[in-house]
Amino acid sequence: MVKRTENPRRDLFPGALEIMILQTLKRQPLHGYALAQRIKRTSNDVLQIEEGSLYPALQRLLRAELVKVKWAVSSTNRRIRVYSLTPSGGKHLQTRVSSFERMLTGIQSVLALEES
Amino acid sequence: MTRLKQFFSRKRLYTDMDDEIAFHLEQRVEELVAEGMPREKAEAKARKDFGNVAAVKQTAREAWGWKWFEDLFVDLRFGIRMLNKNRVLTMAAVLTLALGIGANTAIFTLLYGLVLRSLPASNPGQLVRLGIASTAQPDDQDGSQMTFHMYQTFREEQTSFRELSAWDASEVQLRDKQGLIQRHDAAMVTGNAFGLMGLQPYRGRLIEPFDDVPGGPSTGWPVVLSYGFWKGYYAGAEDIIGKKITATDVPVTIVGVAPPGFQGVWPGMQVKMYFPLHFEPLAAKMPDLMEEKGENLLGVSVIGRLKPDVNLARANSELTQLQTGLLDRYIPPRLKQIPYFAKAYLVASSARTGLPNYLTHTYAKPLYLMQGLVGIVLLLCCVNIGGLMLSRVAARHQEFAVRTAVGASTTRLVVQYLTESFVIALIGSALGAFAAWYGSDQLLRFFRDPMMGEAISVHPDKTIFWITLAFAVVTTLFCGTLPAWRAARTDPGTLLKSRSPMGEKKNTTGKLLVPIQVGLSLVLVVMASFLSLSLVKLRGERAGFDLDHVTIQTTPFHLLNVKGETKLDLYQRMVDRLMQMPGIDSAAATSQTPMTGVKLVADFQAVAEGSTPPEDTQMAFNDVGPGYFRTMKTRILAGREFEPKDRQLNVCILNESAAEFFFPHQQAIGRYIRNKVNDDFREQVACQVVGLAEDAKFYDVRQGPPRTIYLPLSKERIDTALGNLVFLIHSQTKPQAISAFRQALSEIAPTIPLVLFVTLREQMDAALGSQELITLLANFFGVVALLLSALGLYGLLSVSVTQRRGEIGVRMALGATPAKVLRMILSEALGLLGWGVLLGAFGVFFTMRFVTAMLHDVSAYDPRLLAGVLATLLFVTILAAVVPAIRAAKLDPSETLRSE
Repeated sequence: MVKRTENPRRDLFPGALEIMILQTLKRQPLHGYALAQRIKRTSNDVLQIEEGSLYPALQRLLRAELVKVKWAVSSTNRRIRVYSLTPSGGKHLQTRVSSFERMLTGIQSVLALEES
Repeated sequence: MTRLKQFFSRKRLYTDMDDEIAFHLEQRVEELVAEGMPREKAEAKARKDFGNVAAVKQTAREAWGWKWFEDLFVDLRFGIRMLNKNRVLTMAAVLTLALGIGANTAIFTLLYGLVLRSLPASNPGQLVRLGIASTAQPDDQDGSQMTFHMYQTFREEQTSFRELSAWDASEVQLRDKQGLIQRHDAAMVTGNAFGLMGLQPYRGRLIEPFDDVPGGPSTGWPVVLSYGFWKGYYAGAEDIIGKKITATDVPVTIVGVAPPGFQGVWPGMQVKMYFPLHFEPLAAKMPDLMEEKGENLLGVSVIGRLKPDVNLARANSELTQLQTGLLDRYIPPRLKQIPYFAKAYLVASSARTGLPNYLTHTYAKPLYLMQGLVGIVLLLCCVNIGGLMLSRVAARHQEFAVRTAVGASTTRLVVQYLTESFVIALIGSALGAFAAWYGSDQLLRFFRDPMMGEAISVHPDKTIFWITLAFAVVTTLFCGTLPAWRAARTDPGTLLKSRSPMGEKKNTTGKLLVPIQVGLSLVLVVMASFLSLSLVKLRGERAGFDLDHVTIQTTPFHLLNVKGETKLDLYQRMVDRLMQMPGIDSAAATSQTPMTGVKLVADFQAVAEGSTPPEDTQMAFNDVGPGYFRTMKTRILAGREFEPKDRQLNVCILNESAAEFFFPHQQAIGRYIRNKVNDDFREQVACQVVGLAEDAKFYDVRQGPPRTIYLPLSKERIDTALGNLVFLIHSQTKPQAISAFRQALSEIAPTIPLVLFVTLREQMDAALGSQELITLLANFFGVVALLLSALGLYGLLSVSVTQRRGEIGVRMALGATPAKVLRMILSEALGLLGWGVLLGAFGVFFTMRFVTAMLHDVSAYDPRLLAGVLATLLFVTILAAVVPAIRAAKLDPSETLRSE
């Protein structure tokens, strides 16, 4: 039987991958492969995400119109799709990041309590 | 990009993404190779890092949320392919369904149009009709009419209604372009009637309160056209507003067109024009009509709109409080002795669907019955298709087993199966709807108002489309679920191992379906036979007159405004002229024609020497002119019939039953009859019996000839009681009668319009119309039902014989003779029949009471009929079983056993 895997090996909490994608794209538009490498590198290989899981996430963002896509030509002269942030994507990122930070602070203070 | 655009370009989206993923992998491999990894290893590592490519693609596609839709497409394509592979089965299923759904849609179109559709008013649930009803006549509880004065008073006193309005069905005459005068249905309404409904004009304006004043508004009488009449009669002319026309010799101005879809408040009737209520005396040429309406208990129909916070119960309780005063005040004292009025009360009921009328009265019950009938047929069709599909499941077990084994989920299989059923149902309903569209027009011809020229109007609309679709969905669920459930329960292990197409399971579900089919057919066949027998009896009954060669015409001579002897002379002149025409055997005028369903009775007594008159002296009566009996071909057994000189109530003719009743075993001719003067018959009669006529039916073909007294057309009654008389014309053909009448009328009264010509047979058929139609349908579907269950049984037994080849082979090898095998299969069939009959008996028991009202002279449990039906079923069963049984008996045991 084919297992239907909604989020292949998603160790992260829901939405984390999307935030990372949006944050990365905020700095510059990138094609899929470059995006995967950039996320991997900047997270210092700490986050073990499957590269493939990037693509369903990108489709979700496309559908929600948080990113848009344009055709371009790569250095190897190949047609590639370059993703960039839409204005609503930027807004979405802001709200998500701030709520994300609030959550992190919350978790950290709980953890600090545990230690003392 | 919109979602819709995205959907249609999703192929592009998907390939772009596939392309992108391919690029990703390539890029990664190149990088790894550049780092010094061997290409093969690099490719493997790239894939490993990436994850399951297929799963990623699938998940990414699902992100767009179209999966269910794509699955549906796949299912549809697959379903159509599977159905295409089994063309015979598909055709059978589609045609069966087309029949079932077509019949249901057609009948429902009528039922909806005539009984269920709401008036196209705003918030129709608040509309209420009010009128007089009586506990003395519990069958007739319409209560939508009252006197105009009662309406006016109640409107002032009540608090439950936001507003009340009065309606009256009437007619006007228009002269068409050829100069012929034609009658058109019209509604006379109070000025607030349209406002109360919340209707908006399509053009111009509707009737307003300032229009409805005695004498008409200062700008002249207005008329509002119905949308259909404007489109048809005036070809939708844009400059219609302000046009002056002449309606029944009165100049009126067209002020507006009513909204499309609104055809008045009487379902089935097509009102052409709307006038203010106070216009009616002019339209009817009866100057005193408003005073008459003020006292006539059927003067106006009343429609009100409840206040938002008032419900029907509260309105009724207010009505109960006010009714004593109203009834006291407005029912004339002389009527109060009559039981109907002594027990009269006022009642309010919903007018959501409009006002009850002749058509709804006559056809509502038959239509419900027919809907039930075709409902059973649809059920039967579903069961049958269910059976067919089930046999397909049996054949496709292998396929389902394989699909389950490779991971198809149960839901997917069920959905797949339901999709297949849906394809069948959709095609079936499309065909059925197509048939119904044309069929309902044909059916409508059975629904006639004998007094109305035009066929009633019922138009299919959007609701009907949705209903058809609903039928399709229900059918799908009905015939798809069972096979789907069976298919989904398939255990792949046992099935893949087993070589037999059915596994080791027995076809128990199929065995359940056959008795249901038999039972349903039994119900239909029993119903059909009873109805047919009843109709045959009805038609075969001797009426006592010539139904086929008498054409009737009720000329509106009241328009000439002649009275008394002049009026009698006018009718006599017409009759005399008609008699001179070629092709006319005889003609006469009469007050009543037979077979209208109108029951006129009054109290008559013999002026007897010594003997006390029998207690029940109620008797049917008719005022008939000279030549009536000759024209109707009712024999005069003794004495004479009326002559032109008989214009007083001093002579009369009795029929046999009446003569026997008044003067048992005595000569009736020359004796005297008198009457009790009351509201049924207000003139004093003291008449000598001058003739004895044979018995003839009178108001209804379903009932035997009543005791009847015939009176001459008399000076005493011609102005007060008789109204317009009916011409009876006896000729070989109807066209002869029509042309003769046209000629005579153009000579004697050229300004008078013609009304519809009908023969007595047509009039009676109209009265029997629904019965005829139901019988026709019941018979047709009875045969279909038999055919369907025979097919079902045949299919089941065929599969069963194939399945049991091994078993039968063993039996025969052990000494069972072919005859014994034959008996075995036949007895299996008879067993199923037995269960079916048992089920059917229950069905018959529950359904017959709906039909008994329509039966004439046939007992609902006539043993001979039931035996006949059972014999038919037995015959069909054996016919269906005999082929598979012979096939089983002819099996060669050695060959069968070898092949196992």
